[in-house]
Amino acid sequence: MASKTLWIAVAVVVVVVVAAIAALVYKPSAPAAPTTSSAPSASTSTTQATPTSTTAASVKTVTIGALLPLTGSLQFMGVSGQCAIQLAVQDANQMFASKGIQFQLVVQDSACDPTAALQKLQTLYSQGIRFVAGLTCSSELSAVKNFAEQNHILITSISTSPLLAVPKPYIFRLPPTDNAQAKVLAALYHMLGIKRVVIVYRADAWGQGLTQAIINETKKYGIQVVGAFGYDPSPSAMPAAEQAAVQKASAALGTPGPDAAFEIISFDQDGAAVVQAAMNDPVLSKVRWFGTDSNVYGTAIMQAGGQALAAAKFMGAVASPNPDDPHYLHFANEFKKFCGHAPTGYDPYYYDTAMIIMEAIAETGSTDPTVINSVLEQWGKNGTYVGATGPVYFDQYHDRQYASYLIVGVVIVNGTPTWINAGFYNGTTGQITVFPQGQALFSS
Amino acid sequence: MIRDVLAKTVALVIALVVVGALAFASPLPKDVRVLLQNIEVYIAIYGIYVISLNLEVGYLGLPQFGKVMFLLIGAIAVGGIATKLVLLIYQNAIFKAMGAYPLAKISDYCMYYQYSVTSLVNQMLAQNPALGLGYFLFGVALAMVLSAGLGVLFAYPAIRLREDYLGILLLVSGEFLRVVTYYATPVACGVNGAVIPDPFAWALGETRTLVYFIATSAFLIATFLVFDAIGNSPFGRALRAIRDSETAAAVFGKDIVKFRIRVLAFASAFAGLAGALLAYYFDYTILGTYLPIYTFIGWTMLILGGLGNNVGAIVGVVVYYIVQTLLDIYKNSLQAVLHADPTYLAYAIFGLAIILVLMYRPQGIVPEKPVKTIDLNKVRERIQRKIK
Amino acid sequence: MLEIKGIVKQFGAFRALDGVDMTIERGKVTLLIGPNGSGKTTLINVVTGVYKPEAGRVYFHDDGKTLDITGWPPHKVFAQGIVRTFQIPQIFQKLTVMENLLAVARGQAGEGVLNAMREGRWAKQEEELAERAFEILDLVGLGDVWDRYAYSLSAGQMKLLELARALMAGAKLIILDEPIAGIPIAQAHAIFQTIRDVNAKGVTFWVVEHRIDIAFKYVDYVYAMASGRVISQGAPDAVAKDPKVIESYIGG
Ligand SMILES: Nc1ncnc2c1ncn2[C@@H]1O[C@H](COP(=O)(O)OP(=O)(O)OP(=O)(O)O)[C@@H](O)[C@H]1O
Ligand SMILES: [Mg+2]
Repeated sequence: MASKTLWIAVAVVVVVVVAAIAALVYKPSAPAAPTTSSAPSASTSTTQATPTSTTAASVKTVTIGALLPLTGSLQFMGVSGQCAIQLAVQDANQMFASKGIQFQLVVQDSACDPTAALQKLQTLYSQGIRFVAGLTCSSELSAVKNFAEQNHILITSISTSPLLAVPKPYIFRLPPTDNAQAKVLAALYHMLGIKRVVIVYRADAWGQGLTQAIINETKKYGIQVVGAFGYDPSPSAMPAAEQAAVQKASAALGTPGPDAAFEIISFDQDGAAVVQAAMNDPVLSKVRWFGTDSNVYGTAIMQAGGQALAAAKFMGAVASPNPDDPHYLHFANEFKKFCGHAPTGYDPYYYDTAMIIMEAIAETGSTDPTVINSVLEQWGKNGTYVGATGPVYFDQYHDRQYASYLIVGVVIVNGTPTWINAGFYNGTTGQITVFPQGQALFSS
Repeated sequence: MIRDVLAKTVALVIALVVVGALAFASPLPKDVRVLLQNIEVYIAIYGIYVISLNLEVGYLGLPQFGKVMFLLIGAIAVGGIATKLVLLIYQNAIFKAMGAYPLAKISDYCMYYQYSVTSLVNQMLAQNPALGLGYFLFGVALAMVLSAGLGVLFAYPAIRLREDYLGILLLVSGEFLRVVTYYATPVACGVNGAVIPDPFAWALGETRTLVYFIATSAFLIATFLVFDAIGNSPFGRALRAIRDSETAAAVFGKDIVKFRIRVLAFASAFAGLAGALLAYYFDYTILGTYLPIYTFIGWTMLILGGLGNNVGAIVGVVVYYIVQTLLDIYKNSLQAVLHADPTYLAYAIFGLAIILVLMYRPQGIVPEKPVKTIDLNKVRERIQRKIK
Repeated sequence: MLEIKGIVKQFGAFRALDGVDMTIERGKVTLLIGPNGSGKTTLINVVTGVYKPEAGRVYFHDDGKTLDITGWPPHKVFAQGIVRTFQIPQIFQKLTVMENLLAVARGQAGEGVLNAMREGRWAKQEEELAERAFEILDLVGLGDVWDRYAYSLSAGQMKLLELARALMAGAKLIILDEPIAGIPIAQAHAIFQTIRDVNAKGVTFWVVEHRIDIAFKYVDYVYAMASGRVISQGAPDAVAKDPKVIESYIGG
């Protein structure tokens, strides 16, 4: 009776499972196959000149993965980043064709969801993929950290959270952490004679982390953060949450003065709400304003109060290669042709997440992640790899260091408030250079 | 009858042993085995989740739209409470090594020191598997108790109202709890997410996965046994009666509110268990990601497998994961044929598959069966013999 | 056994029951008649706790005690031994015929979550209930379809299942809302005969029925309602001749 249908159900499950496993194992004809079949990792674990690989017949195909938020709240970053990574693969295939290596790309959507990210990474792993570029959210990186380490999957990420500034074998982060940005801002305050800072920030991981980092970095210069006020960044709380935070900040600063400053740690849309609340504030409207890499060049914030931004000599820092760096210019050009729009904030970093892996594979001829891991560590010490974001140095945690920053501000050009590149922070020397067009912002 | 439930449970155990052997001790390539191992752990955890959802939706007809709330509560119990307990236990050792008590300044701990503290704690837990096990069971038990309590508490305002009100209240409660706990750093390190010490820190590499496979499978088997036993009892029958006609059931003596409370408490406890297991297995949790989509994934699995049937609940989870994984692997090859964005293609195919199942097999892959309490055929024969 | 005093039930501005008084005698079969929309079903709903009345009281006399059960929730009314059927069958669709009966049996040990897991606590009771259920099904003529899903029954069979379920519930007072509507004449008589048989064992009946030609032969006392009021009562013959009753049917 019941047991009959039960056994049928069991049989169906067994058949489905067997079929699924068969589908998984039956890879040789699938496109990803050559990765595992023609790249036995054991035999290529040392860097060696391989005379056979120069013959045209033996082209080695290496498949790399990309794990990006193609849906969900960070879709806008992931979709653009996917294009940057595709561009990197195309470039690599031209650059390294002479070495007999061909790269293929498999993209998975992580939706910025840690659970999904780990599952997709495991799927990529089962396809024989050992190199994954583009991981975006810090929470995803946290979720995949142990799996990557245990199974030797080399991951490059654009996460910036200071939480992950810890030893993490097989994981490298291309943008500097938010600590580095805090360092730049603190240096900028110091240069301008600021002694008191009040902060309004988005209460998410990024905003909290950056705020804390600024508090720590300013201490070194004897600058006091007199208060830091978070707001719920969800659009449904806008603009009341921002207004409340600005009011508290104004009260905390108390009196204006040339030694006081207002730091806005926001994205573009929420930043606009902060600016609108602050421009009529009797205290805040009389001090210098600062921003972050995520609100400078913003359109909403400019529309909301361009005049006020210019009056407050608004400045922020964006991790960036020197805009005149030929590497970056080349990338920006190509990107525009390939993707149809100018690169935005993280695009050059996405490009480098993929390119640094491919270059290491091509230069060493190894597809062993352990080998590539130590190659990248070595390169990171010497700044060997120079990509769209300039020379790449890694610290002991595999995080980008010596990153350079562009200082961006608002000035009135022909009567309209305009974003300009006001200066450059050299990551290697720690020096700030003021560009001619930025002189006005730096004068008192 | 119970014999039937036992037979099904034995079949489940055999199936788990077989797939476990395939994943952990078979000549399959390592890539495939690692994938299988992890999928099996997810299936075991989601199996528990969907079986508990089945009691609410399949049996009682309760529109449980807030199910993800209990994965969240499980994550809070583990990442927010049990984790802090372990930090307290080891606080002196941590102080010696790092010069600060981890819980003294929670925001700094959450933002900077979680990984260094946790790796220290893991080293110590590796030396003390008994404490690790205690910490594991504590987190699990706490998740179950909290979920049961909060499940009833959140439903209470609408527990006497019509089902649709209750469904909406549950949905809103889940979102409410998620947002509130996500932005409160002390709960589980808020927006940074909580790094969770590994209760089985002594087990490394594949052994760790094996330990989790065994633990989650054991919980799945126990859950199945319990839920199928209560499903095939007068209790399960009363639930279905309420589902089919609430008025008639009430007129025939069923206290609807009482049944709802019992079912919510019971099912939520097990969903909390699933949440705790998930948090331990990932050894990291971030409360902001417990979005309503996980409620609807649970519903999808259940509807695919068959509402009102616990075997169906498990089959639904298995099919969901197999289809999803195969699509992820082959979507790029499909793209070559269909010239569509592979990400959306995969989602579209998945949606289509579900629609097809619902069109041609609306009762699910394994349809609902009558409640089995005692052998009614025997009773029937006995009576007919008496008459003759 | 049941004493209804001045019940008023209002749906918005519409008064479905307008001060109804009625007494259901213990051990008797009482019939309630009245034209469509006169409030019969509404009255049953008020008595069994499905609706709460705006005014009036419902008393239940049993074991020498009097309980005011006005506005009690349905399951509490059931616990006192009052059971009803529905005019439009409200059977448990996705349960089998047999399960429909087992589900309504009183005092089941296996309905607690914790007991449910321990078969030993309820298996024996379940056997006894199943035996009784088979007897009842045979009695109403559903014995052959006991393992069919309820949704697959014909309309007539569903009516019978309603009756069987009421009999299964072990009640002291059974309220039947149009038990023979749509049932062929011969079987309709059989059903009323069954009612009398069960009544002979001490169960009180209160029956709503339009088919008075059949019903009058089997009942002890009759109430007639029109427009939410009782307009006549007495022995079947007396009520049948009451001009007010005749007029209400013609006028209604
Ligand atoms: N829930 C309700 N909401 C609004 N009006 C209702 C409701 N229930 C019943 N009524 C109205 O109350 C009046 C009495 O209805 P009721 O069902 O009690 O009549 P009845 O005597 O049982 O009629 P029938 O012989 O047709 O079954 C009708 O006019 C009906 O439309
Ligand atoms: Mg009626």
